[in-house]
Amino acid sequence: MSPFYFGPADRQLFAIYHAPAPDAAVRGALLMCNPFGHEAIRVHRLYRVLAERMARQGIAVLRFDYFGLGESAGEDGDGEMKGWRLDLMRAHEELVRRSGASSVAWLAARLGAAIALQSARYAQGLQRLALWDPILDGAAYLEQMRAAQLNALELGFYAPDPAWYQTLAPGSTRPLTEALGHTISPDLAAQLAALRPDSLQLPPSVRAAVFASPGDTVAPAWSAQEAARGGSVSCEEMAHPIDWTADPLPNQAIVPAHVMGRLTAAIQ
Amino acid sequence: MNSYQEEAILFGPEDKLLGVLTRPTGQPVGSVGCLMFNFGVMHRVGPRRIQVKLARRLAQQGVACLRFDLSGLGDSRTPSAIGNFDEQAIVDLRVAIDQMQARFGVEQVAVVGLCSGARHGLQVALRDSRVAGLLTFDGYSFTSNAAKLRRRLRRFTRFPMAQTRRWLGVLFGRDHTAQGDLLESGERSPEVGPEGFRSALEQLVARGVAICLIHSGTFQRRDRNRDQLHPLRGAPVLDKVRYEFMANVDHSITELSAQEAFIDVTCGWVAQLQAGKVAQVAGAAASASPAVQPVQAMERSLATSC
Repeated sequence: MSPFYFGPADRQLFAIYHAPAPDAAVRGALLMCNPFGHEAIRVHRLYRVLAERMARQGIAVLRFDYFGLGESAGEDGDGEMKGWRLDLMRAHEELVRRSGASSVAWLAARLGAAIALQSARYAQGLQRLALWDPILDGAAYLEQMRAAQLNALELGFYAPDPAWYQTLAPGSTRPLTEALGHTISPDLAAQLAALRPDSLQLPPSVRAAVFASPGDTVAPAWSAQEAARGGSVSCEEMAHPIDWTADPLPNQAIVPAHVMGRLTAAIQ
Repeated sequence: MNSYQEEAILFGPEDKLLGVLTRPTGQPVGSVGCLMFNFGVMHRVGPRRIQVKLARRLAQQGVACLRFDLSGLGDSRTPSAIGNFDEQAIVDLRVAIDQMQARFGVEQVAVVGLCSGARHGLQVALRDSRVAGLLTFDGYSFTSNAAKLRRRLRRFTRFPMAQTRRWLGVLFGRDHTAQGDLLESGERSPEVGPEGFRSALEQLVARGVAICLIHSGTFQRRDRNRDQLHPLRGAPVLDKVRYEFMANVDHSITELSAQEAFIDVTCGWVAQLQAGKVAQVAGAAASASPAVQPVQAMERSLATSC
């Protein structure tokens, strides 16, 4: 495991490279694309464990943080979708450079899936995508974050503040400016509001496996849309105990075995 | 142009610990560095990325920082010889202080312990004389029974339907788990009682260690006369530590305004520590107690108070 920073001096990104185990035949490379904000913190442990498992099996893995998030440079509010797409492409190139792999897969959870789909056509050597609980409808995601922020504040304080409800009540027309400790800049909010399933297309050369939680109707519909266009895409329901917006606690499942198993199978 | 630089490192025996150094640029590095580590099982960035923001702000005021994962948490690996987690955490923190000294030439460190990190911070402060300051956030809290009752009542009135359903379920045997109990937040009881904590504070203060105890508004709505340390009220040592109740900051430091407030308090405290370090070191020299004695005293107090 090698932690490092890479990228332009004014946009340094934090990454961890997991080299394939020396005794394993090199079988390809995997780029792990984070969700946004708190959700990346939530999935951190699962990504680490999965990365180590993949590396033991001969797959080179790179994990990284987008600009303005995690350990990467940039302050709150500096990050937005266009920049994050560039970050993802730079991470892809860094992974290929380090591993020498000609076959690359991406695992992308939540908003990371949208960023991955917007970037996939530009990535040389990308063959497979595993999309977990993908965010394909940005407006709905903004409402989810609004609800998550309100829920976090209600649980976090014993005295509710009426001011919260002016911004955070369902259907509020006020702009959402922060969610679970992370700034939602006007640019990011506008980009998310414009994110729609029909704006996201799978490149013909890439196979995708989509894992959707029960009750998610958008991901199966998008998968069917892409399959109808001739794309190679499968969509499976995957129930799991991870609450993306809750804090990871020791008494909760952080790395569910069945999730690990299904993601591993999709990547290999 | 940033006034800090960050570097990702592996350090410690077999390079199994992973951390990020934040180094001030364009100004001298202060002689007191700052250590941050895990908040529960979260990795080193802390809740809502607060430790990244805090480290950068501290670096802007000349304080070098290392935020890292304890063995087995975040991105740090477990040592070859696996021992008790709490003991290993102390070893890791001391290795991190070594690293700070080697990389930045700092003489002493301030340890920031959020939530469960408070107990590891307290232990390392007792054992290592290089710790000049200890800041805990929602660490040790000993509220009165009346305050606990007020908190439960307020919580019940906030979520009456959910709580009625939950407790009816418990009553009729449908739900015996603690899940869904919004009356309590599931925080772990401190491993030391009030007397043990008071004794530890006295030892640290006698050694010249600066102490800052911050409590969020999550567990109580308001604080009257240091409610969070109710049994210690009147203890002379409390007059020598900084006590902050931040009613508008929740346990996960969720709102951006709360993050600013927390960072302001922490940076202000570290700045004072940096400025007053010489006097504190002189105080420590005057007390001249070898580092091992407070540990033994702490162990004795643990044995009697828990």
